[in-house]
Amino acid sequence: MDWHSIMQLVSLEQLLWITITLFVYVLAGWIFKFFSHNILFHPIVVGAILIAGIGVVSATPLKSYLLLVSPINWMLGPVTVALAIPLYQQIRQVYAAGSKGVFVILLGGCVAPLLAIGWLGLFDFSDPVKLSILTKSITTPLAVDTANMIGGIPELAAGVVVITGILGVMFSQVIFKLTGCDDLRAQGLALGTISHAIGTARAHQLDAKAGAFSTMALCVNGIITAIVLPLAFMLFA
Amino acid sequence: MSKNDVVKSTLAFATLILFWCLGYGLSHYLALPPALLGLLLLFIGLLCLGRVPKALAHVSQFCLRHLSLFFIPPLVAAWFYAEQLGDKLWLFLFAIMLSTFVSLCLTAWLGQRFFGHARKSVKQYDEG
Repeated sequence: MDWHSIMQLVSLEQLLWITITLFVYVLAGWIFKFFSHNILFHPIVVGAILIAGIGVVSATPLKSYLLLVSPINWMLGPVTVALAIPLYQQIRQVYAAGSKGVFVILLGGCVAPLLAIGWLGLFDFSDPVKLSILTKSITTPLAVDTANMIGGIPELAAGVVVITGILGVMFSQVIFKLTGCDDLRAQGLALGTISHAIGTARAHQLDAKAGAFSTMALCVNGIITAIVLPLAFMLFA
Repeated sequence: MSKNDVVKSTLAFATLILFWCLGYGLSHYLALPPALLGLLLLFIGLLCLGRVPKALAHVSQFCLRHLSLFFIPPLVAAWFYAEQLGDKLWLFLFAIMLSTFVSLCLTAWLGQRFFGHARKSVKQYDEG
């Protein structure tokens, strides 16, 4: 492969937009820190708003932006594989939580998507839209892949996952009071099961033990959902 | 960061890519997401090894901490699909809200019932 074809592979425009996205991400991280980790200023949300703003100002159509930054998506696969390390490190927590802990995760992992799709079933939504909500409680990299496999819209699934994560963290304070949930392990378990990585970040703020349980719940729920959903669709669809 | 660390980190990242490739290869035979298969293969590998190599732990920690970066483009794209939903967008958002609220209530309540009684022993674990 000579230089000319390499330059065709990665154009200057592509590099520019990837750099902009990286820059926006760093900026969004600062903003998040500045507002003392207020969940409303989560880097993904602020970053997406900033990118959308830059896109509007520079009159870049959304489709071409997504095409230009597609190299970012290439890295997502290997990064998802990295989840194996926390899973391995938390394997002791799985034993510590025992069958009860796994039961809580499984229950949460079933109720959340079933309730959501049940509600959507009452109204006239197209199938891809309905299916995109099934992966709502699992971490985004697994959700995007899984949604793709079961015939959902990956981008919409990613949006649903992020909103679920943020709502879960927002609701969690009220809910923990409402249900009298003051055990840090139970809080971590709930946050990790329902609000995946965003909830886990919050659990780490609460306490190291809550963070460990949350990481464990995130991995277990994500993996089981990502295994069960495609298999179920293969068998029944 | 010494030269040695850079080499080790590069190798660790190459390991992640390698396992993703293995997962991708396997996904032709098993109808599961490639990244998930790669994750499970690496997990089995770590179980066999019995420990996490230091460089791999560092690299994965770095990657996972900056996971948010990868979701900025999809979230921008999600807005495009959300606009297509039109009037039904609110029903769609309500579905997310309702299911998140109910399932979080359920898991928090059940978790508290299962773990809450052993509250005193939690304090001791905190140091570890």
